[in-house]
Amino acid sequence: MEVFDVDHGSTPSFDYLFKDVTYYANQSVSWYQSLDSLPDPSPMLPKGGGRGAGGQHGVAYDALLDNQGGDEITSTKEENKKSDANNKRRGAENKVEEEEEYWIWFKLPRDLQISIMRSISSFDRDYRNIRAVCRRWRSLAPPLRWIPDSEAIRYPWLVSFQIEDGIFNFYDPTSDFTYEMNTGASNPGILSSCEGWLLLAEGERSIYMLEPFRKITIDLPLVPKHFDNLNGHFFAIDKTTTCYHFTRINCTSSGQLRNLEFSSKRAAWARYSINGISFLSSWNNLVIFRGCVHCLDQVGRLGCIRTVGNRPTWVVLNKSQQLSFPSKVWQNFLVSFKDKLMSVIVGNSGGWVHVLKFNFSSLEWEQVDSLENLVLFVGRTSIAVEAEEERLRNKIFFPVFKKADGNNIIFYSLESGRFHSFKSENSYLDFHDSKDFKILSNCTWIQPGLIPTFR
Amino acid sequence: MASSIENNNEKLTLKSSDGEEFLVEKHVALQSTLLQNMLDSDCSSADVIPLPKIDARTLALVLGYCKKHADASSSKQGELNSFDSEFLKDMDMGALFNLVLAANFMEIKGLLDIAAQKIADTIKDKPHQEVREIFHVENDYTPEEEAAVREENRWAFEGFP
Repeated sequence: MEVFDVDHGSTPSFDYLFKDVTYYANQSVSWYQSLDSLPDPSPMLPKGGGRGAGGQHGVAYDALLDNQGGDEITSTKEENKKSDANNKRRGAENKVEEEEEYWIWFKLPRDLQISIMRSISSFDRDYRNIRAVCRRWRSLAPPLRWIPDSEAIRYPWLVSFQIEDGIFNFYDPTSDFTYEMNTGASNPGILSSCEGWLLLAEGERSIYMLEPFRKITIDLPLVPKHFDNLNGHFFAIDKTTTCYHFTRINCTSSGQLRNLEFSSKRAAWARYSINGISFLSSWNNLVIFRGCVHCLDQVGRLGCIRTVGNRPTWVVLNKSQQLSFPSKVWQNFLVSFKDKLMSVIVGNSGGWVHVLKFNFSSLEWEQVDSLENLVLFVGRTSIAVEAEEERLRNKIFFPVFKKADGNNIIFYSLESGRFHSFKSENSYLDFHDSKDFKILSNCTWIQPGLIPTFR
Repeated sequence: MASSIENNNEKLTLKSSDGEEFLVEKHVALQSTLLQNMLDSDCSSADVIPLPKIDARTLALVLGYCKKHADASSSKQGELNSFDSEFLKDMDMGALFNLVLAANFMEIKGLLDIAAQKIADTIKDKPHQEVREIFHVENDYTPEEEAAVREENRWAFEGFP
């Protein structure tokens, strides 16, 4: 392998990358300040709450509010509105008195109301509905605070960009909830993600990293001139505690394999050309496994870049294996989990889905019939997670949405061999019909390094 | 433990708010922390214990729950779980509310937890307008405030530092 050239750019500020996040972890900052300035129905409720302020039932401030009567709601809005509301409320009470023996919510002691609310997981979209019901319900369900926590959210979100509104969408497939965020990006190409960071491209040569949850941006040196457009290419990100490393492998039209790398240690791009090797890299994500970048070709051969001495060396692991599939491969994905390296190979429009596992002794792919308790999220970055919930086990999520039933993500079940969504009983053999299905392309899975909390 | 076996046949009488009396085996009554404390603090088991906040219908349900849980051994957790879900199945919201209040008053934690969870589950997958109707809660937001609460969900990360 020959080193073609090395392009030195300005050194980006990597201090941000390795900044200790415990500073944030110790703060519980309300993410929606203006709401806290709304008149609060319970004036004794400490604004902003605080971590650990809540217990099961016996929260200190809850106890203070226990005896809050039905007519104690005060509003700092105009007096007229207030008396109107009181009249209405009296009307409502009369109605309840007429319907004898009928229960009403606010007859429950406040600590019971709170314990009912706390039975609703803060991860659920239902939790967010609670606050929209009325003022007192809002006070029962404190605003979620997002606290950085690498372990907290088990399943990745799908991040995509809406050009019309200039916002990022973060879709949580397990709760079918979309968060939105404006970062001022104009039209970024989403290349890859790694541990809560996104690798984005603007235009042909500009590339940067974004930690969307804390909005930290790191500009990287321009990609070397006369290089292919970055958009649409895959990058593998290797993150250690001391550096970041991106790799891209692509194949030129003349069949030459190329490798573009960036290392934060050198703060420079390097590109290599690998001559005399027939390896048609396919439309698939790269994955870092056992410290090496791995890449699939169109017939399932697994290539990897190993560093021998100081020099990167290209190796194809399963040279002799010939894989055959029912029809042309549409996409394939590499995904690693602990010591397992798997590939998900998909026929046209999801007409068939094969899952393979690489056997590093025989150096061959082996068919996988069940993922057991794993759930895979495949795309530009593919992530495998051990699922706690039964409904997620042995499933593969693709960035494909069913347009009916409010745009739900679909997933493939290895058990049924079909695609399903959580919102419908129907299942589908493929996602061929573009009237029914939408395939998101400029998107990737990201593991949010945050936890929503109200405790 | 010997004393609890010895007391197994002892019974006490509970009186509901509407005057109905229930004869309960002591080990069943001990599921309630309230009754347990009363018995421990030397209230005579011969007395009728009035429960002025709990009507007969609810008390019958509560005692049914307590009996099942008192009689089942700890090894039958699976059976108890299916009893619990069957117990609350098809129960209307009024009965659930009464049950939560009774479980809270009588301090029966297990029953309180499952009944509270059951009420919470009715909120699941429902828009807030529908939740208001179910729970007879009046919308006291101004339109601006309501819009702001909804925006809160939309711009989830906007205020994050």
